[in-house]
Amino acid sequence: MNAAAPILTVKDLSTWFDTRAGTAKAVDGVSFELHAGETLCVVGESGCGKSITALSIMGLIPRPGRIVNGQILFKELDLLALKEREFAKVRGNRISMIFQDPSSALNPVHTVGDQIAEVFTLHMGLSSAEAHKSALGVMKAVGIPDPETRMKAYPHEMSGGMAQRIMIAMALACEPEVLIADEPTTALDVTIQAQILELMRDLQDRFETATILITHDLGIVAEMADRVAVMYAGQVVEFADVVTLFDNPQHPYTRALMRSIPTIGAEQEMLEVIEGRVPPLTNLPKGCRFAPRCAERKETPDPRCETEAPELIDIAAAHSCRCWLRTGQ
Amino acid sequence: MSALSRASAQYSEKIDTEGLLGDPKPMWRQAISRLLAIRSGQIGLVIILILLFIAAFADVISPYNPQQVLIGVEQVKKRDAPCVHFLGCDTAKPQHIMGIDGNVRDEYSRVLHGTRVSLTIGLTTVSAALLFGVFFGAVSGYFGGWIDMIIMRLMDVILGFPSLLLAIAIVAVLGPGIQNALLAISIVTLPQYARVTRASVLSVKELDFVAASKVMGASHRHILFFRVLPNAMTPIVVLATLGIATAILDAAGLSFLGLGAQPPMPEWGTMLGSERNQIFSAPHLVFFPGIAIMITVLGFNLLGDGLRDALDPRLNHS
Amino acid sequence: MLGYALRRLLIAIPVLFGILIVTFVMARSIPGDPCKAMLGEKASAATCEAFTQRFGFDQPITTQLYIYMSDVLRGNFGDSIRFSRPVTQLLVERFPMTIELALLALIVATFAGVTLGIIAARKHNSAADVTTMIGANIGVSMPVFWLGLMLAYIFGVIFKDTIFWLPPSGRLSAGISSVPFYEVWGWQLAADSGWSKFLEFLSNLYIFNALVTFNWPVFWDAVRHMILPVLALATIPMSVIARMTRSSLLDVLGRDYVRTARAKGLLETDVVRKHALGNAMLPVVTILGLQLGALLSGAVLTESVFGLAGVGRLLVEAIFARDYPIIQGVTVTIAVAYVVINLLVDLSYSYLDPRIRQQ
Repeated sequence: MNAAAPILTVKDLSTWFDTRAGTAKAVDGVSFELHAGETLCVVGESGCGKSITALSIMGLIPRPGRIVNGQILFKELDLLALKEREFAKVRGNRISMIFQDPSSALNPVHTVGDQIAEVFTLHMGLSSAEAHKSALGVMKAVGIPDPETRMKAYPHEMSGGMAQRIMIAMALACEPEVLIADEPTTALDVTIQAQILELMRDLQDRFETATILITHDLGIVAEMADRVAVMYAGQVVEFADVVTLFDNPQHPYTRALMRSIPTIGAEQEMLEVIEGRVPPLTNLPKGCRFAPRCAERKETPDPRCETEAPELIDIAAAHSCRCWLRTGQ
Repeated sequence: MSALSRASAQYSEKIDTEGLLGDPKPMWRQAISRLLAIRSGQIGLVIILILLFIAAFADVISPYNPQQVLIGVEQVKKRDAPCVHFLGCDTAKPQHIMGIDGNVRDEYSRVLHGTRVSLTIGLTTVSAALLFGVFFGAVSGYFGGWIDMIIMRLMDVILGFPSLLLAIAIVAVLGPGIQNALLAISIVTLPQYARVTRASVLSVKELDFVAASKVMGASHRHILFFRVLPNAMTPIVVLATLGIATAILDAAGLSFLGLGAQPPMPEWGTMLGSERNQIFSAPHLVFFPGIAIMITVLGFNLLGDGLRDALDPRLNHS
Repeated sequence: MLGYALRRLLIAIPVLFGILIVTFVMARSIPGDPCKAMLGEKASAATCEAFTQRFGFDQPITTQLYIYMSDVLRGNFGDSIRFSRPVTQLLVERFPMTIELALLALIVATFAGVTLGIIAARKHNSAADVTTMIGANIGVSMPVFWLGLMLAYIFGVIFKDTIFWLPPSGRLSAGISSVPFYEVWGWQLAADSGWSKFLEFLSNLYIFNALVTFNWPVFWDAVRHMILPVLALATIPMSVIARMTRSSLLDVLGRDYVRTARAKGLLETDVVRKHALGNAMLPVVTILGLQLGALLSGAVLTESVFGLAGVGRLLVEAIFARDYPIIQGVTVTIAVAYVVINLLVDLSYSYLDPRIRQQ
């Protein structure tokens, strides 16, 4: 196990949105640690709170969201206690983030060179000329062919894969200690996806960046992750290292997810679909949030599933699960 | 009945029951309930309902006949300031809450009757512009080709002029007067409706149900007016509502310059224009007609904004 | 960019020709004898004969159109009936006033409108936002002439004998006159050349003229006379621009690339300044051209209210005097100016947006 102090600690994070329909608990009591050099994958369906968790760490929660509880420690730094001006010095410098759709994440009226160079002038105090020279360097590092010409290109002139490389270059410009990648390949073609993942792995090895990779694709998890957090309706429901999770998934939701991916070569009758929908975040079930959709509950019913919310409890070394059926005595 | 025509009749029934065009009521009812949930729509609607009420019952509400000269009838002088008993004006004097105008008439009664004139102006100009604008736009968009070319270039030319300036120039040729002013305003606003209609028709005309009508052998006129146009109505309704506001404002401007409604018609722009030189001695004769114009225009602007939000779900971002 | 500019120009040229044809048709639609209409009722038979010859009234309509077009392209609009002077000369004297008014109003409307829009968007749903938007809604609904008269009353009467008093009419106070810069600098102007007309035109921009000749008393007086007309005229476009800026900026602030800018570690002020505003201004620029049309129209009313001798008042007076050469000249000039300005706005828009620039 990783004995060294974690680089990022999220404790009991809750981010809620006050909407007309009520308070949406998008993130509700999420805790995890991230160590240097590792990749933590966060999986779950859309709307389960993965992205809001990431944006909470970045301090970029859109209105009307607010962090109601919890602590985010970046090494010794309490991020939530920072003033906006100090937080801005961390953002894009020591913790950076790349987003889902690169073509909309780049500013259409500035050249990509300027957009990368801006990070250098901002955080390293470089002059414009030096910053552009450094930008050229990172563009080379992320494998952009003919970077001198590409510098002067606008985002609309680039393919999705190329634009995502630019985003990665921008994120890694200051060699951050933590990189958060929110579905970085979802918007890209399958062949490009593999290239981008390959690039991320290379760069991570080179810079030893700790990475939080958010995805709904278990294939990417298997490929990239060291450890995995499975999220459902704003909570982490299972936490394990990648091998354990795939070999021995415990939470009914994780198991259902596993059954819903096609396995090459395996004899499978049919892919399973998880019945029902994610409950509305403004109106969550009283007991376990997965209970209404849980198939295993029908076989071994437990009265607590509907009345009491389960806690995330260690069920083995470095493996925890939030389920009465696994942890209940 | 041949098998083919039976099949096509069935087909057309099927299209209609799918709610693509058939009975538009549910959609409108939805739109109205959405409109009532939007603040600007609510306020605009209330203002317009009040104005409609005033216009309808102006004769009953007005304390005086708007044309009646009060010399010898009451102890009042030309351009007397407002006298409101409630606000401390001597009760021995007759009450005139907006004062007396330059021809010794009750200003309040004239402003009330002006509502009728302004609403009529707004509705007639927009109706005329709509009728011709929608026709030209629909024909242009539906047929395309050289018809489209000629109509749209003509519209471009009209839009090439600042609108009020062209209206002034048209009135200059036709001669001052309310009818010519209304005609001029209709002409200069017509291209907007033509353009919007054309764009809507272009986007609707390629849709499947229109192709289906064509396959079934419907005539051009039938397809255009019963299949395409009803589906292009949304932006036109919004534009027309906002257009009433602009028409009232522009007509008041022309009348102010003396090119539109002529005295003694109780038109707000004319009333204001004929007393403008008395602004320093009798500001009430400028103030009240202007406020009336502003409230009316505001009502239609707010309703138009509300309709835009209610009819276009894509814009519901705020 | 070049391709786009050329295409845009190709659209503008037929519109310009269309404007000439429309004004030609309008002039020919004037009821009665064209000679009496254009030269006045007192024109003698001999002058009418010459007039018919000159404008080809005995020729086919296409020839008449040709004569008309070549006259207009040379800047010849004939002589005013009322003033017995070339319309072009009247335009040189009166147009600068209108330009000064419209341009100042545009500047005020743009700066104030954009600023208010930014404040409203940054403080979305705050009291400042709500107030600005209520104000903007009222602003677009106000008749220019009414606002002008009320301002004249408030600043001319209520504030009389205070430091807030402002002149309610005219361009300069009695006893103050603007001396053209070319006279100040002792230039000799060749009579009747295009260049001297141009210089005369420039010198009739009083504020500009006072500025280049460092004549501060005249400058200050001209500015003071302009404040109320500009305020009245700027209110509607300011409201439109404020609304547009607000909705556009709100839209842009929710875009992914703004989130990226924040994620880079830029402070919110810089996010707005460097990443949001540029994009948010694009739709605002497109409506500036339209607003200029509203300004030119509004200038006619404003000049009338404040007794300013611009082309708007010239036009209105000409209508009552049935002075058709002036009506024609003013209409054509303003329409052409409007088309050209819109062309420039579109070109600058395409320059600002790289997606169009590189087509």
